[in-house]
Amino acid sequence: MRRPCQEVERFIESGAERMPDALQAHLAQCARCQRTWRLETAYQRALRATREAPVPACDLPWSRVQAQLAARAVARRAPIWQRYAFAGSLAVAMLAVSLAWLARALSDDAQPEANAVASAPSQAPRGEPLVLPNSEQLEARPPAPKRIASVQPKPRPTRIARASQPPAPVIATAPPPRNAPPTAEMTLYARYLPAIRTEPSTAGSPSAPPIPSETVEVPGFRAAPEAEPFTVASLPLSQFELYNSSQVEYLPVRYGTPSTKSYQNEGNGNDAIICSF
Amino acid sequence: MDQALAMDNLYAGAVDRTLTDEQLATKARAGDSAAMEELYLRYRQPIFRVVYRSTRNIDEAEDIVQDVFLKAFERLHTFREQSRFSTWLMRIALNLCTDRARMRQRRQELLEREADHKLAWSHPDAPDPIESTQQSAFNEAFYTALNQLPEHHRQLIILRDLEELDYEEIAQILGASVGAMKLRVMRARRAFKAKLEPLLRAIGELE
Repeated sequence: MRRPCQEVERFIESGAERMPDALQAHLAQCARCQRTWRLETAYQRALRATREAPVPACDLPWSRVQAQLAARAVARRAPIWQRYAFAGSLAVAMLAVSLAWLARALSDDAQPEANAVASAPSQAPRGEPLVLPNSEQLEARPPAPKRIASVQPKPRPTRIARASQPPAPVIATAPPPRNAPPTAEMTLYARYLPAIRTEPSTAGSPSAPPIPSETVEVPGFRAAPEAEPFTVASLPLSQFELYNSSQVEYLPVRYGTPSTKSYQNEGNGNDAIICSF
Repeated sequence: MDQALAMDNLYAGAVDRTLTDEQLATKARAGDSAAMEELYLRYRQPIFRVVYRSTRNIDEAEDIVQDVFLKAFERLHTFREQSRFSTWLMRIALNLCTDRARMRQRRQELLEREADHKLAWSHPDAPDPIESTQQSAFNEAFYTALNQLPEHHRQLIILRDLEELDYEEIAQILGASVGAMKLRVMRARRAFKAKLEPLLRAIGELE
């Protein structure tokens, strides 16, 4: 491209109105520049026509924009709640699962705790005599749990385990807790009875039989003078080769002294009654 | 349409109209609905004109205008007042136009793939040859060539040659220097003339 052609192009692109005479002379002679010039003039005409063509007015009312603004403001607030709703529900679900697991774990632990309660030493402080309830208090005492009282001994072979064989069981002076679930797997509530029930002898009678020697003095258990030694033993079943609770039946254990009507002599001496089926 | 404009003008009296755009923007940022309305009424039509020249579709242009103002009012806190409010608004409009053009282009490509037998004049952006008159031939040729341009060239032609904005304002809108803008406008014009020339020859406006 010759230099004057470049100048004509620059002049056109600059948008200047008056073309210098030298360029006009070149334009009259150069076909290429004439073509460029004609295209430029046509472009300007098209531009002018387009610029002058009416553009439709915007029909969009402010109320519509305003409503959209309000709607989007509400929509912007809602996702914040929704965003946390999923996480919240997830957290609640996880918490519920955790609580359920914890409750189950606690219920599993309840039996060992019941054993511990049953085998716990007396609430009475050491060194002080244990005052057993009198007959009125015993009558006012709520009856034994139904489940225990309703179980009747079945006429099945009975195995008598001698207390002398295993080590001495832990003697609990407190009755089994009322709310504690049965702990057949680990303990056996059995009656601990004197060997022979004898009527108190009259003072001064030479023929009065002595108190049987089988009456056991339990460490930490000081019975009242008129009361017979009576307590509930918690025996580890494993020592009697009982490992399954189905082998054990709870006996109707009652608490009281021989003077109470509920007292029944079902035992024999220091024997713990263990039944197997 | 005129009724809507009249209603808007009737109710747009709660704010002082002598306030500058930046003062109105400050009020609007504080939640003043009347200031927002005043800004909307000031720039609705200028924005619409630019958008309409880009889309050539009234409904689509109105949608874009609505989006422009929604976006502007929602992000008014990002307006730093380093440029004029109109410039900031125009930048939002051009960005939205670019997004729409991309979507339109993708949609058009899909349509063309599905209908290879489609006639050229049935292009949605092309003028209807039956309705075109000799008077509007220039117009249609112009927009046909304009639609064939890439978006960045099209925006420059619209802003500089149709809306006649000065280079400084265009440079602010598009975030470039004035010199760079002049160079880009020159390139856009060359590309545009290359598209326009055969169309003008086709309608007999160029020998």
